[in-house]
Amino acid sequence: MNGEQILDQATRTLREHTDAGWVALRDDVVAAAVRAFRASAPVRGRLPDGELWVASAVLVAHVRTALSSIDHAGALRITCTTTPDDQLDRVTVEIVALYGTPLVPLAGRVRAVAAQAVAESLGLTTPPVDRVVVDVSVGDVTADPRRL
Amino acid sequence: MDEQGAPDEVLARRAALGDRGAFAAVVDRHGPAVYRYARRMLDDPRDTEDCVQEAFAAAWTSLPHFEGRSSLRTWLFAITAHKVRSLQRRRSRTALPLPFAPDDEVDLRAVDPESSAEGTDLLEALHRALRELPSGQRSTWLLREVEGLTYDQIAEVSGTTASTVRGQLHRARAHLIRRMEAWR
Repeated sequence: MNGEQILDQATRTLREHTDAGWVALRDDVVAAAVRAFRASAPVRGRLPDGELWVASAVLVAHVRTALSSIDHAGALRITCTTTPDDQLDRVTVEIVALYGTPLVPLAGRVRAVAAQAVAESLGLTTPPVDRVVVDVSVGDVTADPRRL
Repeated sequence: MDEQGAPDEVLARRAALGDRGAFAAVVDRHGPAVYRYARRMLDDPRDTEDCVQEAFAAAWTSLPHFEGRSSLRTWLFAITAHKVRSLQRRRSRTALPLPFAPDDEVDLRAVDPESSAEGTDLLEALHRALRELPSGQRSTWLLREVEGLTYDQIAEVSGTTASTVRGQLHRARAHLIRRMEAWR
């Protein structure tokens, strides 16, 4: 073999190589990364004897988790807007729907589930559908369930 | 939800919305390559660990702003390359030796074929040859030949142009062929 062929063989070997250091580090990488702080605006909630503040990133994560129970849809974007005194004003949920799914009932389910999740996260006794606007938009449609 | 079969952009979108399972799938899918790249760029296991941990922590915090203009893989390599450069700068400020020697100072007999066996030793010979490359050439060669990025993607990762990438790759490859020829 000449130098070029040896290099090609070594390159192939390196391409298929997983470092032992990575195997040892993997769990720590995930744990440390998800502990890293994501800056986000505070949202005012309510407790029986006082106020509750929830980071909007936490609220978004709760809404996303709740929406994952809905078949034939996936969340593309979830945004919260607040009033100047940090009250939740509006939640906007953009979804991707599975091709062929009736969109109006799907959007209704998304809206109800999102509102319930917001209520639970902010300590509200009933879903704030009347108090807080939950907008739902269908941003995309896909025939591939893996893309939901 | 099936994370393993989901495309990168779907995992990125879910992780951006706080899905830790999706983020773990991103780490599992791209972590070995990110580590492999950082390890060969930094040539130090402790620095590699710091670099990879910092890179994925930065990815987690930045994912809500990831707009998908580049692929997730390219974006992760860009973050990692930035961390590598930061660690190399820190290292040079603390006056540690640079992890490569200029071309004309390289002793071609330094890679001893008699001390080598196939497989592991072939990799070790490649590692030694890589250490001799300047950082830019080494990064370009690893990203192109090992990780399979395109010239344009490498240019994006490195903050340079595709023609610079082409030149770096040509010089790196010529050097590595010479060194591997000596190993034979």
